[in-house]
Amino acid sequence: VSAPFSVQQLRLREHQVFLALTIVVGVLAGLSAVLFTVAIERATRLFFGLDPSAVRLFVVPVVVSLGTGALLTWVFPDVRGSGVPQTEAAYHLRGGVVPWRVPAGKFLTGVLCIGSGHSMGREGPSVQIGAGLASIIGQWLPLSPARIKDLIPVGAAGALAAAFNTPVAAVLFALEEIIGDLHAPLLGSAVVASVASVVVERSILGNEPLFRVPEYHLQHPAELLAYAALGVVGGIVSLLFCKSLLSLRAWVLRQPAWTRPFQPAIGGVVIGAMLLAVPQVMGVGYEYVDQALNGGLVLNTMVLLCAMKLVATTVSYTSGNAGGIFAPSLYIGAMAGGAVGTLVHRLAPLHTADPGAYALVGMGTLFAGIIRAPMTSVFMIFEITQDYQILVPLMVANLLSFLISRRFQPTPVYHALLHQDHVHLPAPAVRLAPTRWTAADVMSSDVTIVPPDVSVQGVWETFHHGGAHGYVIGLPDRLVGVISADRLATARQSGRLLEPVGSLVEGAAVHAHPDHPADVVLDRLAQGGGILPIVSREQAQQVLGVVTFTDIVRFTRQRPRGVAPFE
Amino acid sequence: MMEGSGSCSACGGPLADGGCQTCDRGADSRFIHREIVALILLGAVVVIGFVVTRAAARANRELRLMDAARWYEAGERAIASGRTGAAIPALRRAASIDRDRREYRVALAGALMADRQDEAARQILLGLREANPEDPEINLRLARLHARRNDLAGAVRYYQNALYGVWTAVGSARRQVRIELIQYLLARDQRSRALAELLVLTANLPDDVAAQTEAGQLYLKAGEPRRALDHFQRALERDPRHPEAVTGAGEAAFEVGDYVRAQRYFRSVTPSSRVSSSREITELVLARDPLRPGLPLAERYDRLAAMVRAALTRVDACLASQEAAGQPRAPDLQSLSVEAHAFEPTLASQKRRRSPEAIETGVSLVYRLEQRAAEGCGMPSTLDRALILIGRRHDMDRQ
Repeated sequence: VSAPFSVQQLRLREHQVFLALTIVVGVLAGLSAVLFTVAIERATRLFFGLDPSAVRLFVVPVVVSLGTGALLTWVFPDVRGSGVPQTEAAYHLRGGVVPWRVPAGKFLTGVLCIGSGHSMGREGPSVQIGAGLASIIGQWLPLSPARIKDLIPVGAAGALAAAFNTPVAAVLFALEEIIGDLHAPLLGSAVVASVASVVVERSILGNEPLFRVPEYHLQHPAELLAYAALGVVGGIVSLLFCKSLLSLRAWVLRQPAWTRPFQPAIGGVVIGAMLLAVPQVMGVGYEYVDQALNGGLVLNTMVLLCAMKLVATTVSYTSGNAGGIFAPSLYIGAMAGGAVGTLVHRLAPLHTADPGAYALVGMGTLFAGIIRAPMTSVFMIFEITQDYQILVPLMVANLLSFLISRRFQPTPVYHALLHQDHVHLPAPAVRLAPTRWTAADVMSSDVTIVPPDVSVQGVWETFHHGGAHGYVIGLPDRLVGVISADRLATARQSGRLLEPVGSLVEGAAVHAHPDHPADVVLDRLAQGGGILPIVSREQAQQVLGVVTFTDIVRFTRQRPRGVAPFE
Repeated sequence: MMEGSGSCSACGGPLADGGCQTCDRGADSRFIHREIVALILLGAVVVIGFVVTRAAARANRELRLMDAARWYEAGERAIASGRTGAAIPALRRAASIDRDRREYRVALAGALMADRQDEAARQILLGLREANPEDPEINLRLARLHARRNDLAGAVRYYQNALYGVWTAVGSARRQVRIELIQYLLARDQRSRALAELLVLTANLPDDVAAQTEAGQLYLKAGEPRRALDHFQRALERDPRHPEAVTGAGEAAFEVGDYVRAQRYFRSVTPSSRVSSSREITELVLARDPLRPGLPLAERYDRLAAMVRAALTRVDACLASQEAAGQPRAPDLQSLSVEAHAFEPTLASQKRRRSPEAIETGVSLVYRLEQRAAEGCGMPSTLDRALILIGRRHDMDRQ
């Protein structure tokens, strides 16, 4: 090298390093996923032994959850739950930066929670661990911020490919769920990482499919109607699962802060009691999925396990344990599908496939309904079966389940979980749409936030001379809402002078985020009555500024000539 | 680092184009070295991670295989003690942990079949068959399962698959499967298919007593007593006192109508309940048959008279029972009875005239009487059966 690097040469070098890193990240993510799986199995064996007594079944989840509750509260507070929503937040909102404590904490607490019998999956945590490792490597080198961010889906794809042994579905999951764009330029990197990960995983565990499935045949074209019925059932069960999960979690989050360390143990008590009656809901539960796929379970058992797994997963997840809903959704789907298949097969034994085929399609159906990644679900089942014939029934059932779930639960479950934590991910349209200005460009950072306990009279006397259209009510880190100047005047005229101003706030606060484009800002500004709070995406109760029509007019006047503000 | 005078303050090297080439080279070199070192370090981490993970996975797999073996042993113990219900979950655990172990899945399928969970067993067996479609044991189990479900086509298909599978124990195992198939077909009244399989079986039959005896018994069940008798006799050539072969030969000879030979065989074995009826009938046939070769004519008439009397007793009782039950008397039986009553008194004069034709006529009459009585009044007694057989033998001889 005789001359200093030009910018182009540096970019080329970084590209080469990134390519090498993609392979390294894929391998490490794969190794971490394999190690995570092995550790969970060893922990389960250690905690429960070969044939656990009733006392052990009940005590283990409670005692271990007491320890994990402390860890999840004081040592690793960011690793509760699945890991997929947190990974999405890290990618979209934190520039791909993940602290080292996240993958380490997720590994430890995930092993303890799932190993102690909580009904949770290992794929979500694997994704968070893989993405976290990728981010740590990117930060250590160090790569540019954009490249660090790019490594997140690469690590996620590698981890999922090894955890589920489905390399194509892992790539699609990284694009569809983590990035939210199937056309993302990271496709190549995700593929390389996924392949590297699967190669490593298979060299360690052998080329053994996660499930052994019987040969599939569509017995008769009319059988598609049965699969459509399965899609409807899958949609309803998905909806039931999402609603239960979100409702119970919302209730748990409203409990006092001092209960947080004990919440996992309370979940452990419920799970321990359930294990006494239905030990099949323990942990990941793929053993029973395999049995359902191979016709090893009768109708009553499958119906029971479908219901019990739904309850157990809801309890385990909402009580704040570390573990995912990926595997439980497949489990519930397999049982629901197997039950539907058994009924259909009884009605028309000559024209329908064995119940195992329905269990298989049911897995994809629930995945499409709960996780809302329809392409991933189709390819995942296709990779498991390696059979083209299953594609059409799978797509029919998945589509119906997806549509039903989306109709009655518009926000996907991972995003809804983030919402409950006051983290608002940008919608795909916001991420992709080119825009000339955003809320951050026009907002005024000099915001007066009126505490909600100030009286109506107090607000009137202090602010009404300023001629404001409305007022932001809340505290700097807790947005309560917005009230218009007209509403304040009406309250004053009706004699509600001494009432706190917070009581005038109705419904959820209309707000926008700094990256929202012009059309969204204008639309919401109109809804908000002339004043629009701009809040952080990472902490949606933190007010960063406000936008009024005056701010937009001022911004427009300051813009250079010739540039239209609202295109 | 740089000075305007022409030499670098950091390294003392010459300046050119506003920069120190020596320092630039060093910076570039450090940059490259840093990347290389970082990648080497990451490579080392990957290698160490791989070794550690593989060791952990291997240890875990060994532990799981041991667990599977323990579950399997527990399942086998439960089966041995007759607790099939307890064996199933244990074997299921074993089979789900070590999915490559064929014997675990076979044992599970067997336990499920024993517990009448046929569909679950079938699914497991189909999974095993998918891996090895020519596995005779799996096909045989599937055949038995379908046989139990009264699925004739399915059972026969799997039996055929088992027959043409790859047997490690050549000969006897395959022969046993064919015998099982023949027995199944005979039980399902598939006589012609059973005979086809029997022909294949006997074409390659070893010349030993047990095999020939078994073939004889199958032919006997298939309604082919002549072929059966051939195989029993072949068996007896090797072991003349083989009880099963002697009994079978007696039964076959009895079915053929060779009562003399049947009597010889029956008398040479210890009486058993299986053949007691045949043996008694054989004795009666030979003792009562008026057409038996070598008898003096007077003896023939005496025997015929006894036959006619016995037949009339049976017919009169039959008609009386019909009358008592309020049923109309069968006209043909009634007319036969009248004919017999008229025939009986003529026997004495026929005997004196030493007319041989009357004996055949009498035997025929007795045969028709007994046949009609059996049709109208149910199962005949041992003597009546003997009389029917005498008549049938007479008819057959005439034919």
